[in-house]
Amino acid sequence: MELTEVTKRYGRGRGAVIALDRVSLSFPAGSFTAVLGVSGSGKSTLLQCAAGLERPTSGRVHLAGSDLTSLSRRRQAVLRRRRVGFVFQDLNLVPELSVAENIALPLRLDHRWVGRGDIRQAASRVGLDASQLRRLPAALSGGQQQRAAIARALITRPEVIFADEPTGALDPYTGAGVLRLLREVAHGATVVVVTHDPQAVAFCDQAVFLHAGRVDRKLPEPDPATVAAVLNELGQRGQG
Amino acid sequence: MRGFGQHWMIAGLRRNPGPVIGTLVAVTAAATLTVAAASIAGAHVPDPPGRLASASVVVAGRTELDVTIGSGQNAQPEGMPLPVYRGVDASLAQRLARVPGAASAVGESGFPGGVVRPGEVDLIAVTARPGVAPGLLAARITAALHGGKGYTIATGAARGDLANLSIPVEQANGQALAGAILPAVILIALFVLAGTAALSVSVRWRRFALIRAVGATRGQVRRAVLGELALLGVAGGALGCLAGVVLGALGTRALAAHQLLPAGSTAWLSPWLLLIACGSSVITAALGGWFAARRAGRTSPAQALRESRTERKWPHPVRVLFGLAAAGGSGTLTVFMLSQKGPQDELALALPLLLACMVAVALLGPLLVALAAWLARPLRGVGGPSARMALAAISGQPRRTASAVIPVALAVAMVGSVYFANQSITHATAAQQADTVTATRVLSGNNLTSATLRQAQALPGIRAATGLAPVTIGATDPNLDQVYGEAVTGGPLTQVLDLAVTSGSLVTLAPGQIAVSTLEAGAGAMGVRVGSRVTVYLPDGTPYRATVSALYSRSLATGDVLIPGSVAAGHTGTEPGFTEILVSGGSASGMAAIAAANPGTRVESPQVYNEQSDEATAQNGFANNLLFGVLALLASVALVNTMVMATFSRRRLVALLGRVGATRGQVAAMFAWQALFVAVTGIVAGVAAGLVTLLAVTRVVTGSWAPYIAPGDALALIAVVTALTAGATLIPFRVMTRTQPALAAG
Repeated sequence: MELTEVTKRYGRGRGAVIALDRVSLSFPAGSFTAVLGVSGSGKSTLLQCAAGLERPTSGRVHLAGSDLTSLSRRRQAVLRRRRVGFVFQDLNLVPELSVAENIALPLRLDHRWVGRGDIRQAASRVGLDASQLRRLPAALSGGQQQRAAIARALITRPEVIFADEPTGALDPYTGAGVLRLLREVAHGATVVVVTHDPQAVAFCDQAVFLHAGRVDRKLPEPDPATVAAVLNELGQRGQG
Repeated sequence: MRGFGQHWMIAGLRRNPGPVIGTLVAVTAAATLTVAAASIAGAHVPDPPGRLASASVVVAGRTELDVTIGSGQNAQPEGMPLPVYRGVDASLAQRLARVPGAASAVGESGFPGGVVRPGEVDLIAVTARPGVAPGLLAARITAALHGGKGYTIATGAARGDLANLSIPVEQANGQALAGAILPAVILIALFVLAGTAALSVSVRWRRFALIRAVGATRGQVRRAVLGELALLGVAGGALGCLAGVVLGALGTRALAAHQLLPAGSTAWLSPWLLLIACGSSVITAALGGWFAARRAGRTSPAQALRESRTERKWPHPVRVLFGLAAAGGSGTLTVFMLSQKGPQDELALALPLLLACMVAVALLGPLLVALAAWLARPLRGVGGPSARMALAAISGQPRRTASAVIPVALAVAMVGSVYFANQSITHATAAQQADTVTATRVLSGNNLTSATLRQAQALPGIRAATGLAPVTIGATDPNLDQVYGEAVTGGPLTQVLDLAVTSGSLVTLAPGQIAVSTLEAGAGAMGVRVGSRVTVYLPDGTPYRATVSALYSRSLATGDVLIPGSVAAGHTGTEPGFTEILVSGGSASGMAAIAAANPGTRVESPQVYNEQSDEATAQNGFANNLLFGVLALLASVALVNTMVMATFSRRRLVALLGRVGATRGQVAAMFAWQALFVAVTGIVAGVAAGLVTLLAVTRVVTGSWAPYIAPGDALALIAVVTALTAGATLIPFRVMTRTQPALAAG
């Protein structure tokens, strides 16, 4: 996956906000990348543009061999459900659908038949047992809901998985478990995790730091202590 | 059909029906009224033959008036049931008795609306010989009568219609009433459904965003919402069918009690009603929810990542543009309506005008709310923190507030304009009647004959004595319609009636003459002037060729045509006579002598007489009240629906306010302030939209710009609308905070 000179501007004229400013990044196939930055640095916008949830104002996004920016909305939606998996911070699951139905959702939207065995297998890979599949999301704990969201992201065997603050609503211990799981089950998929949690980088191949809509620096094989220091520095720069 | 009824939508409906309950209620209400109207339109009298039960075949002079409208290529046949028998020659009975298969043929008379001419009977009842089927006998009679032209020949249940000619006439009245209700119901249902569907989509924005993010296309979401609406249409149609059948039966009975349907009518009951209910509901729901479905499909998937929705604060420029176009259109329509040549043309534009005004209010709602919020700013100082919060929420989200204001405005506009237009017309009728009758005395009773009139005319000092009898004629205006008027005998008319003659002369009315109201004479109606030759049809179908001798403008009291009494005599199905005799001059003692000589006759002053007529007019308003009731019911459903849903959709806000330390009383006060704002803004916008139509209709019918609005009625309307708005906001709030104690703060 590759982003080339991606700019995203919200609004027009004097009140315009530039959320991303000519960002170019590449995510090698099978890599696990953390995108970090203080609040307002543009990391969520980066994920939205990279995943085709938002159209960049200018620049190109290549994902799984397609130029996302040139696809119609319909083709983007189809690409999302076939090649991309999503894990959000919370409110990940449709509250009226059972856990099993939530997991099967992308395949169902794609008019594909989903066997009970497939769902059970996907669930067991993330550590959910069969009895939990029939429940509604509200009956599950936060960590279990994130596991179900990961199972949903994986069921299409996607090429890219995006996660937006997947541990944001969880305690550090449960959060680490969810990230470890994501790392283990990704199986060659490219994973991009947006986070402000330095602990999260322990599972990453590289960390990308955004500041004021630009790539500030990249760290290969990052460790939590260095990341925390960089975030602290960026935060102080923002105030100064 | 791939993608309709997506499983996620179905599961959502099943496990959390909250957001769509409003839509279901609206669909059910509309289906109920549709089915009720349909079953009233199809009402029939189950066992009618009565006196003719023993006859196999009944032959009468044709009971339908057949007229060809227009000429050449545009010629079009039209029919109308006649209230009075044409009468057939009594000797026809002998002829029919000789038809092969006939056992006997007897001339019968004395039916309501029967003939009073010598040598004629109302109808002939023919009995078949044993073994001869009525159908076969009827065919032979038709052949014997050279194809049956000019006759109505009936067997079986149709005989009943011949035994009482008021049955088909009243049936036509009931059908016309039901037919007038249907388009109004469907139009309002479309408005209401557009509102509830939009609301049901907007409270589920996060779900749609999430589904879009995991790869649903816009079309999939749109089709799922439409599928949901279709499903609700079927469910609402089925529920509404049950309720509608009950309502239809009650309505049929009520209409029959008011002579708007034949006595003993039963509502139409058929499996087709279910099909009508479901079919119309599915179509209305899909049409009304079309924009909501489009909006659901357009939900940005990126919103799935956000905590709260960045809702568009201002309406889309296209919406504003259409709103301004509708407002401009209403203005143009008003001007156009008032410049029409005939009042009938003008009145035909009243409903489109009301609709245009309502569309304008609906589309410009957010701007109206923003304006009202700006005007309400001084209240922030008065109402404390709750009022401040309420106003902040309103001006922060004018679109959202507008969705609550719109149904209030529509209810006020619709109910108010229909109700007060009726009131204005009734009031103007009474006022006109007081001006119309200039006689010094009025004789009334059910036994006023030509002899009574002659006695009155012979009294010393009498200046004028005129007998009046109501008559319904058939006229092409330009379609074949019933026109109400009076048959007048004696004169001079100018001494007893002031009809505000605009052209020609109306001192007396001689055979071969007719006077027509300016309303009915207009270009869109009969299209005649003084001197025009016209053909109208007497109640038994006899054509009356006449020359228009006068046009008059005060027609609310006397009706739209005046014909000479001598012309109507013998064609009205009743003994010649009058319902009242208007007298000018003469002495009180002379009048008393006439009353003494004719038992059952009363002598009254015109004032007393007018007051009695007013009461009769008020009773005749039943049909109007029915229509009004249906409108008010639907409008209330829409209003309550929207308020309840809007309140429940603010659960999060209530929880948040509780968490930051607002007491439950403060939050309740905030909701109350909002309800007040919604009620006041809605009432003002509704009055503005309804007043345009009300003024235009009043101007056309009464000639005056001033509608008659009883202050008590107006206050009652405002009070009911305010109470509904406040109740539908605060009761759900109470329920919400009581069932979920976590929401109840403080």
